[in-house]
Amino acid sequence: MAEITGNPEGSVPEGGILTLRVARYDPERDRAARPQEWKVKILPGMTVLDALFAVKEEQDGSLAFRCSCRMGVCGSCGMFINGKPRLACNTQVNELGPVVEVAPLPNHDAIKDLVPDLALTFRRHRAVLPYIIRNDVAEMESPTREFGQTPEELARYVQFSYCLKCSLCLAACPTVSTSEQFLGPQALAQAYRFVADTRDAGLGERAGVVDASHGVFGCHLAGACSEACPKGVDPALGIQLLKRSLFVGPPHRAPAQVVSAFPEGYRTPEAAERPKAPPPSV
Amino acid sequence: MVAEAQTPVRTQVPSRLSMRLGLRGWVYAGRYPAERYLYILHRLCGLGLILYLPLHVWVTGRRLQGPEAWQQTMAILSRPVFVAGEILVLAAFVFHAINGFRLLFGHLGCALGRPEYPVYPYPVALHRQRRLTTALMVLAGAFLAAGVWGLLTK
Amino acid sequence: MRESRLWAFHLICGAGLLVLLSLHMGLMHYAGILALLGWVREPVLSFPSVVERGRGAAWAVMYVLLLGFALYHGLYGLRGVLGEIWDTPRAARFINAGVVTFGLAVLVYGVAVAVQAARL
Ligand code: HEM
Ligand code: HEM
Ligand code: HEM
Ligand code: SF4
Ligand code: FES
Repeated sequence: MAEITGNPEGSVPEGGILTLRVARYDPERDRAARPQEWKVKILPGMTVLDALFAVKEEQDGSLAFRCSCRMGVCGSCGMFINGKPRLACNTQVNELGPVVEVAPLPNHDAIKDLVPDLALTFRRHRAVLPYIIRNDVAEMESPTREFGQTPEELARYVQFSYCLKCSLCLAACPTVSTSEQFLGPQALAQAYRFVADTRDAGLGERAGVVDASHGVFGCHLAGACSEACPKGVDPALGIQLLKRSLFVGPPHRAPAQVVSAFPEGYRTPEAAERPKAPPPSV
Repeated sequence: MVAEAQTPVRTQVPSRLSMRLGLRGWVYAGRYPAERYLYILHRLCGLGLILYLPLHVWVTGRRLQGPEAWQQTMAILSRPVFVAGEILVLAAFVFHAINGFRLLFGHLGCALGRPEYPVYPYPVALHRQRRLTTALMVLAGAFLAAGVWGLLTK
Repeated sequence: MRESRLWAFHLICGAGLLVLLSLHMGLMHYAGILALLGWVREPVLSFPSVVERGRGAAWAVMYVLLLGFALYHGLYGLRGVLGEIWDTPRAARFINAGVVTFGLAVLVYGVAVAVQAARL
């Protein structure tokens, strides 16, 4: 990600004029992408999503794109922006230069203009059983107490749990570009997110999906997914650790047991030495 | 394999635009980092080598036909086209072997560091082995140069 | 078979190739350097030296291993590459049958050559 924060194309001054070039597609008219260009006045802190809104509100109401949170947490606004898949709301136009080229996410179907169909991504995600799997069914059905997990144990998988399902990594992945069957970086990293969770005992069950053709071994460590990921999930790392788990088992020996909760506010003696959750970065 | 799940893959929309990159997605690394380019080269070299192997087994099998047949084969192989081909095979081997050495570790999650809290700027595991990657590529360059020199001064 | 078994063998063969093929290529292409060290007598590709190498049982074993490793490793890789282009179950059956047949054919021929060469 560090590279993207740089300013390769040279910044544009606020108050300047931005050329927004969008690959449009109207399912009722077009058979191929149709480029269209608009000029947009640059405002302080303007993101690509802001620029798209400016066009939609002031110049062309028919422009379609998808967004929700406009703050990089919902994963709705993935697009191909100046040669890389990025979140439109997470990309400032002054990182990009005076011409911003936007196209729908590669490796996906565009429904209209910049709206990609993420159904296949979600289906892949569901295929890897993205939830805690345990053998103590009774406790799962009607929990009596909580499962113990230390901050160190949390640190082993927490980065993978930041995934937005924005599908940028699938847009970057070379294997996904030819194979619809391949599970892809998002789902495989999520498989590892649960495999590495100390409360989980589902590696064997997930192996049925990931240890098969078009599973985890479709990854060849090209690393593009990790470069595209806007949340530091680093799916490539999760995928390689998943491969390792298939041979040596998950990082924990046995799934965590239920523990009685500590009294409210209780601190264990070692608590002071444990890593603290980082302060908010934004 | 993606199991047939409850939801239909394609919802009922008249038509849509496929942005699937296809083979272009393999060979176009665009603005992605070094490893993305190494992936292309590794694949290309691997395919080159497996193409070469059966031809090679057949050609070296000519030694069973006696010295004349062998000399004849070697004479053909000393033509510039074949020498160029041999250089390509050498280059493919040197790169694929040395990069493969890196991948052997990488694929097993070694030399990639551990997961951690994602604090901006987010860490990327492959960046942690950049020094190794660079050193290996320099090594590959050196081996290749020595090999080509050996071939051309034979 | 589980994919991880096939893949692990792909990696093991890769590691084996790293040793054996480096020896092979070292001999064939770095002979000049090896000769400086007095380890080989040039020229490595003349008929007498080729025949002499092929004669030893150790060399024959090494070549058969090299052949087997390279075939498995390379064809598993090829299978993966093709399977990413044609990813239907039908295509997979076709690709599997293809690489296995091709691999066995080259293996049989190559082993025959190595064995006969050992008797030259
Ligand atoms: C007419 C009154 C209100 C309206 C129209 C309103 C509207 C909304 C909307 C639209 C959201 C975002 C929902 C979402 O993200 O799913 C929201 C979130 C929230 N509202 Fe309200 N709200 C009202 C009153 C209140 C009151 C009285 C409270 C507290 C007592 C409250 C507490 C919250 C909280 C905590 C959230 C965040 C929930 C989350 O992030 O999941 N709201 N509200
Ligand atoms: C010299 C030692 C070698 C090493 C260390 C090595 C290592 C590797 C590794 C680790 C991979 C996995 C790449 C991935 O999936 O990301 C690979 C793939 C491959 N190798 Fe090798 N290899 C070697 C020699 C060979 C030889 C001699 C051949 C041909 C006969 C070959 C053909 C292939 C092919 C076709 C692939 C698949 C490429 C892909 O999927 O992108 N390799 N090799
Ligand atoms: C271009 C450089 C190469 C040269 C000059 C070369 C030369 C030879 C020669 C002369 C032989 C006959 C045996 C001997 O003389 O000892 C041989 C056998 C063999 N080579 Fe190579 N080789 C090269 C590259 C390769 C590569 C890249 C591979 C693997 C993909 C390979 C795999 C083999 C195998 C498996 C045999 C044994 C074949 C058999 O007897 O069945 N060689 N090579
Ligand atoms: S891993 Fe990253 S890029 Fe991929 S879907 Fe999750 S958040 Fe998006
Ligand atoms: S709008 Fe939610 S991530 Fe961009």
